[in-house]
Formats: sequence, C-alpha cells, structure tokens
Amino acid sequence: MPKSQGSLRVYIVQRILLSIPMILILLTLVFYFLRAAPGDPVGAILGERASRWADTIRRQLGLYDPLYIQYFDYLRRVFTGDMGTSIITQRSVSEDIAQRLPATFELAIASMLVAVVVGVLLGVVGATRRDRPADVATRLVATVLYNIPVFWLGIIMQLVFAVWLGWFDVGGRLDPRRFEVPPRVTGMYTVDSLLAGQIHTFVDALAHLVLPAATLGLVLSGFFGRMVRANMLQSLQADFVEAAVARGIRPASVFYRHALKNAMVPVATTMGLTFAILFSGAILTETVFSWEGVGRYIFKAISNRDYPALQGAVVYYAIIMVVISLLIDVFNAWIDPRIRY
Amino acid sequence: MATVEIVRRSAMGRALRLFLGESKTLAGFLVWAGIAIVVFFVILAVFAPWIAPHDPNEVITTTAQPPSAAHPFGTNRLGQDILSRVIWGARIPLTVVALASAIAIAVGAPAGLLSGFYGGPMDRFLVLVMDSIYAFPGLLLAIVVAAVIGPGVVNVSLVIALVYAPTYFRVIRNHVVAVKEELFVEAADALALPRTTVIGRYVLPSVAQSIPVIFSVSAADAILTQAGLSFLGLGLPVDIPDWGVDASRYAGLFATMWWGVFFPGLMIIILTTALAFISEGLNDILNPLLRRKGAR
Repeated sequence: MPKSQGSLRVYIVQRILLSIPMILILLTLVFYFLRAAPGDPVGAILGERASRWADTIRRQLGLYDPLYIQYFDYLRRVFTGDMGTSIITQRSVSEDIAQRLPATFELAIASMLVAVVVGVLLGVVGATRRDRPADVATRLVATVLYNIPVFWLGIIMQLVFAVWLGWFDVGGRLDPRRFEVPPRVTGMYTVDSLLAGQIHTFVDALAHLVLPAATLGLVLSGFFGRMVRANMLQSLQADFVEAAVARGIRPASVFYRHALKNAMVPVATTMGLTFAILFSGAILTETVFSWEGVGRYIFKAISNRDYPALQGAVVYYAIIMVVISLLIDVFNAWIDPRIRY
Repeated sequence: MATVEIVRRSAMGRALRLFLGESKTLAGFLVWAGIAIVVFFVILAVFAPWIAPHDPNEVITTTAQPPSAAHPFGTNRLGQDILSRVIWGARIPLTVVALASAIAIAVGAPAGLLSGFYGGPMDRFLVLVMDSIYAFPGLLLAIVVAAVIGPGVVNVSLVIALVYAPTYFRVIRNHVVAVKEELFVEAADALALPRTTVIGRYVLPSVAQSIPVIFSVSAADAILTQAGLSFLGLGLPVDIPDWGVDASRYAGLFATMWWGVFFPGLMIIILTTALAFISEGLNDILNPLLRRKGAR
C-alpha cells in the first residue's frame, strides 16, 4: 500500500510540474498574439475610430518598452493577479472576472448535469439495442446534437420556449423587476437564494437557468452519448461481463453494475476535453442568453474592442483550463492506477 | 500491374477495400450518405450562380417575408432571398474547411513526422507546445487570434488551421513513434538508406492513412468554430453570404423573423452532421475493437 501511495504522490508532483510550462506556453502565446503580433495590436483592436486614444493606451500598456521588458512585466503582473483595467468598465479586469466567474460556473455545472443525464441515457439505449432501430435513432440524435451550432440552438430555444410558449424569460439570470440579487455568498444565484431562504428568488433563478443549461447541456450530451455507447459496447465484450453472465447474474444487473460502471471510466478520463468544449460553448451560450458570465464578458470585450479585458479574460480562462485538467488527471490517476505508469 | 500490387499491399489500399466491402453495413451507409451530402453542398457552392434563383445581395422585397412559394426560405429584412443566400453561403464554410485543413496538414503533419522520427529535446518541446494549444478551448484560441488578425476568409482559415494543426501533429507524431519500432523501418535503417528515404518511403506511407481520419473528425468542428466566430462578429464582412453570419445577423429579430435564423443554421447542421457521419462510419470500419465479436 505505501508503495502505491508513493507513486500517486510522485505522479501528482510530476503533473503539477508539467502544468507550469503549460501555463507559461499559453501565457506566451497570448502575449505574442495580442501584444507583439506584426502590425499594431492597439490599432488593430481599437480600430481607426479611436485613434486619439491609441497613443495613451500604448503608453499605458507600456508598448513603447522593449519587447522582453514588456514580456517579463506581463508575466509579473499575471502572477500577482494584476490583469490591467478594462477600458469599458474602468474596473480591474480581475475584479470583473471574479464577479462573473460564479455565473459561468453555475451555467457549467447545470449544463454538465443535463449533459450527463441525457448523454448516458442516449448511450445506454444505443448500446443495449445495438444495430436495432433504437440504436440507429439514438446515434443519429447524438450526432445531430453534437453538431448543432450552440448559438443557433440557443436562439431556437428562446424562440420556442420563451417567445412562442412563454414558459421562460428570453435571457438574464433573474427578473430584475421582481427580485433583488440574493446576498452574495457563492455568487451563484440559485445557491445564494437558497442560503438566504428566498424561495421565490430561487425559483426565478432556476427558471432563468433552464434554457441556457439545456442548450449547452444538449450539445454536450451528444458528445457524452457517443462516448458512453462506444465504451459500453467495449465493456460488454469484456471477459468480466461474460463471467458475470455465466454466473447467472440478472442481465439488468450485469448491464448497470458491471458494464456501465466500467464504461464511465473513459468518460472521466476525457473530462478535460469535455471542459474545453463546455467553455467554448459557454462563450456562445452566455452571449445568446445575456448570461452575465465570463463568456459574455469576452463577447463584450470583442465588440467594444476592449483589449485589456479580452487579454485578461483569456488568461484567466487558460489558467482555469490548466488547473481543471490537472485536477481531472490527478482524480483519474487516483481511481485508475494504470494511468500512473 | 506494379501499381495495382502497391495499392493492394499498402495500408491505404487495405482500408479502401475494407471500406468498399462494408458498403452494405450501417457504417458503410453512414460514410456514403455523408459523402453524398458533402458532394451535394460542393455542387451548390461551385454552381451557385446558376442554381440560386436570385443574386444573394439583390433586394427583391421591401420587407422581410415569411417562406412562400416564390421564396421557399423567405426573405430577410433587407429583402434578400434567403434561399439564394443559403446556396451561395455554402461557399464560405467549404472554402474555410478546405483551406484551414490544408494549412493544418501542411504544418502539423511534417512537424509530427520529424518530431516523432528524430525525438530528442526538440520533440519534447514541440509536444509540450502542441499539447498546450490542444488543451486550450478551440473557440477561445480562435477568438484571440481572430481579434488580432481581423476578418476575411483567408484569415479565418488561418485561425482555424492554428486550432487544428496540433491534432494532426499529435496523431501523426504518436503514430510515427509506434511505426519507428517496426521491423521494416529498422531494416531500412540498417541498410543505411538515407534518412529522407526511410521517412519518405517507409514511415510516411504508414502514417499518411490517419490524415483522412483526422480530417473527417476535425472538419465538422472547424465549421462550427467558423460559425461561432461569425456569430461573435469575428468572421466575415456582412456583405458576404455566409451561413454563420446570416444565422446570427438576425438573432435579435428572431421573434418576428424566425426563418432568417432557422434556415442558415439548418444548413450548418446538415453539413456538419454529414461530416460526422463520415468520421463515425470510418471509425466503425477502421476500429475493429468496436466490432461485434465473431460477426465476421
């Protein structure tokens, strides 16, 4: 036992050490693309309509310094959490992001729930009825879902469920005319309203979450569904399943206790990729539903040509991605010792 | 005769025969259906001036009109025929995918080939860089670069190529590392053949077969990324008919003009799903692990 504990610790340390160059590479890429790209990044981003600001901003950003000084200055600022000031909101980008991050997490968690439930359902139905009409139908549904442009699905959802049926609001996180934002604890309205005991606010926050989470979750569920089906088919062919059948265990039990459980392991392994898709999708989903998270912040930064905000948000996203993939890898190494070798 | 022999023996030929033999299965059907749909869109794109009933930018009606016999997909707020715009719009995604994939292959494949073959510190560095890019959300990377280099078909293709080059690099590099240990490569090396011959004649043909597979997997994603960029206003100037631009331009008006958003988006789904059919079918055919035990 001590030996395997030790190897897990070694793996975690190695994995953390590997994350450092990864973050550095991403920071360097962002720096070079946004700041040192050929041509004038400030001009490119501000456009000609703001040329009188360009000089001030260039000086503010230290663009007249030699490149390597700019680079190290930038790294120092990133590691001290100073991402500059947004041109539009006139607040520190870190503050802006910290304020909006909970909204993105709230959406991400809710979408993940939708994706797992729908995805496992699609995958299991397909795998249990292999090559029969139900399998073909669920595969088709999963493939189409995964290939829908998420912003388009969002617009159609708004059209059908908000405009035509009137079940939900078109966008936002809470109806501002009826409810006040619950006292901030986590920043997630659904959680905060429950903590404050404001049940009506909770219901409204949840109702606002339904359409965006369903949109992003459904697109992601196509990805899950395909993966669960393929993994199920593989584990159904495994010897331990045959052994379970031979021992006379009920088919349903073989299916869910033996095959599905093992089919979920590769699903966990690809969580990193899942989060990458989730965060890409969140930018579009938040924009469609006016969901004031980091994704919509990025959209606003692009349309307002707010260059420090864009850079800051991207760096935060990059760091979050690397940390999440680190956590997922460590989790996987913990549940599946084979990964460590 | 000699050519036939080479085709028969090469991995590519093996895959091809396997694939033709599968045309009656579901996987084979998926591949053929996917190819048929893609070809249909290619024909639309190439012959758009003759197929489209109107010029995509021509103003025909004074207001937006719902779908009717004269305009099956309706007209948009500028009074343009949406069917015609959708037909012309096939050009952009197809061009972007073709161009972006060509660039991604041109960069990712040779880098992966050399990196995998020679190994060493350069290989480790490249792997780290490519893995970092790969782990980053594709759309976000595309946003950063697109925000700097600006709109346009070529620029969007460059952006998307950057997102998918690491995929080609990773798959090909890992494949090369595996093939390098094969006896025939070692033998070629032992014969003291020049490195270029070993790589060009022995390693490359074995790994080249993964290129169409990666292409079919990444092509649908590339189209969705392009549409996403268009939606965020980073894709193309609005006077170019493009599905992504058209689907998002009237996003704010969808309550009164659903057809303006619906049809261009539907085209994106049909094309991406067709590409996914091809990749899924190929995967089923080429990945024997997923075959039914003892089915053949």
